[in-house]
Amino acid sequence: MEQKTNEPRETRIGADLILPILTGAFATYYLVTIADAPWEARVNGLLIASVLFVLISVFISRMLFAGRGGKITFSLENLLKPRDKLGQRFGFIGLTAASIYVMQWAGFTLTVWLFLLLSMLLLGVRDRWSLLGVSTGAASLGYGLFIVGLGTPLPVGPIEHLIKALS
Amino acid sequence: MELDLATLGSLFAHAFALWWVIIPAVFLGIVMGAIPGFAAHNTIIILLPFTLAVDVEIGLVFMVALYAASHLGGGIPAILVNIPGTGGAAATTLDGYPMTQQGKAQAALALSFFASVLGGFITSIVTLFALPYLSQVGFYIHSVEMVIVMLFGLTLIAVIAAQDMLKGLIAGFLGLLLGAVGSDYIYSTPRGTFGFLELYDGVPLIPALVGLFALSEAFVMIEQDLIIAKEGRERARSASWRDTFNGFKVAIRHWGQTIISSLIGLVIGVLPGAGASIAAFVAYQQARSVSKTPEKFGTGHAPGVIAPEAANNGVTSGTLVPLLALGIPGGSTAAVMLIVLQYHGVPLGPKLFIQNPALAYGVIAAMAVAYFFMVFTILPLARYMAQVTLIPTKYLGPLIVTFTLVGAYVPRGYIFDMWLALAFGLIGYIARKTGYHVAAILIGVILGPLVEQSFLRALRLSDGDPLVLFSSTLGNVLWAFLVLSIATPYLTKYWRARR
Repeated sequence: MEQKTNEPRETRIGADLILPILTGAFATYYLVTIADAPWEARVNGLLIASVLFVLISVFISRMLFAGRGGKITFSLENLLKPRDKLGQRFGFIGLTAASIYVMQWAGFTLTVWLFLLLSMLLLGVRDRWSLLGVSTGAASLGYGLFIVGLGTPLPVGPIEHLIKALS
Repeated sequence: MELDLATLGSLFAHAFALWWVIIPAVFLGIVMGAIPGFAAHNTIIILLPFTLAVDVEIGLVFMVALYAASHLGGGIPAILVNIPGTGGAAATTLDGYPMTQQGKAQAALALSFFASVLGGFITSIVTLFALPYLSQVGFYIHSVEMVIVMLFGLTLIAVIAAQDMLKGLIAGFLGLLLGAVGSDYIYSTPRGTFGFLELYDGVPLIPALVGLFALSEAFVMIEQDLIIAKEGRERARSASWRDTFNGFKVAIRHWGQTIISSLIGLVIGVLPGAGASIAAFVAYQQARSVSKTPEKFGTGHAPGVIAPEAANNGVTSGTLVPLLALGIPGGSTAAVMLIVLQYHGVPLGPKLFIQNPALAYGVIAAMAVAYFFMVFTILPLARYMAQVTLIPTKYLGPLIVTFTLVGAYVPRGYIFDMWLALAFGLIGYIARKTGYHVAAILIGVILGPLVEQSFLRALRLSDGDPLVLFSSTLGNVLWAFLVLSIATPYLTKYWRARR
């Protein structure tokens, strides 16, 4: 049987609000950029942004309404859970950003090899043959398929230069 | 040229004799379609030295087979890892991926392959007979009707939003606003570009697709060991040929849906500027609105895989209609085909049917034959492809990020597009973790600019009178269908409750 307590009901807000807040900020920025534009350039954005502001207002009001008479606390738990994988997730996202940054100098093949090696290591692969095999195999496959096979103009670096010099 | 049985027989016999061109093109198309960013037109452009060097008929057959197969290939990663290979497969994720999570990846793939092949085959045959009539469709569909056709797709946002209407609508309208980024269509005024020149042409679709689906999925999937839910793992591990056969059987049971969806795809494919993405979303919405169990859509329901796959393959033959009959390319792939035809000095439009009817009809027959070959080449592979879902996410996640980021880079060759994909990946990650639907954002990004373009054109032609949207008979009929498609599920539910 459920026990009744005198503690105020707790409503957690936070994670659910991130997207509406970002959306609202973007809509405001968008409206600023079209302030002096001709009506044809404004009409679509104005319509969409107006509806968005109404939707966001209703969404926030709904949250506050749900928490009335109780305690409203700020929490990002929905976004952060499971906590034990938090480091891995942020590390993985960081490695993805780093690989994009590095690719323009290191080239496609070396970046892919490094990214795969480090990210698999981060995600818990400990077998050195798996680490080296998968990263080397995928980088070679990518080089063979995209650069050699399809002639895709991907960023080039030391490996591509070396292979070109040797061939 | 009269299309009697003897002529048809010789057209198909000739197309079958070109198996040595069709089969490699089918394999290449499936692989390229399965990698986001490597759409058919990119591959055909890369292979232009080949298609320009060989005989025009062989070059054209190679291109149509590759194009058709790429549409089928786009559905494979959509089902297996929630990453559509092409925009046309985005709607397939809605029910295809939930099936995979339930351990039914093999059956979902079989469903998708059968619907794609049947849809593509039927529309090729219809196109063969109705080419002169289909070529007229473009003359009746103006900007007003185009706005309504796009709205059919946009109503899907409300459907996706069914679980939490507010969150779904916020996601959908965010997508529409993102779709409105870039220069406007009349004065080229930059809007919401953050000063990036790379965004003046609008938000590019592939980086948005890669970010919202692939990167965000990779960031989320690493929280678990496998992408399959715990209760579906045993089923996935013990999958046998019977699962492929079961998928095949379910697809046959829904043959009516396959035909309707593929015809929707055909008609939308004929319209210049429209394409597989719109056709797939419209067909999905249509399938849901006439379904007796609309509430099952989005939970791994077979018609939710069949409708978009049949529709995006129906588009393929539709795209050829304005190209062959009028000399107007209906999309980017058709534009590349036009280059090859012009290089070889082949006349297009009515002249083609007078001077070289065997080539015009032969290309469509070759597309039907390509779909026929696809059954035998791809269906047996469903069982092996489904094994991808058993790869641990500590390997799968990094591999997905690596190869899809390349896909984001390839269409325009900007490192900026990889950053854009990452930005969309983070938006998608936040959306997934907090209960917003990434498909709703993508629908907005895809359809937003198209709606704006057609809407503004209609307004310009009517001197700014918004009532122009209700000024044509065909438009009003489409409005009625639109209202009906939205209202039908609610009315059905109401009548059932009353009974």
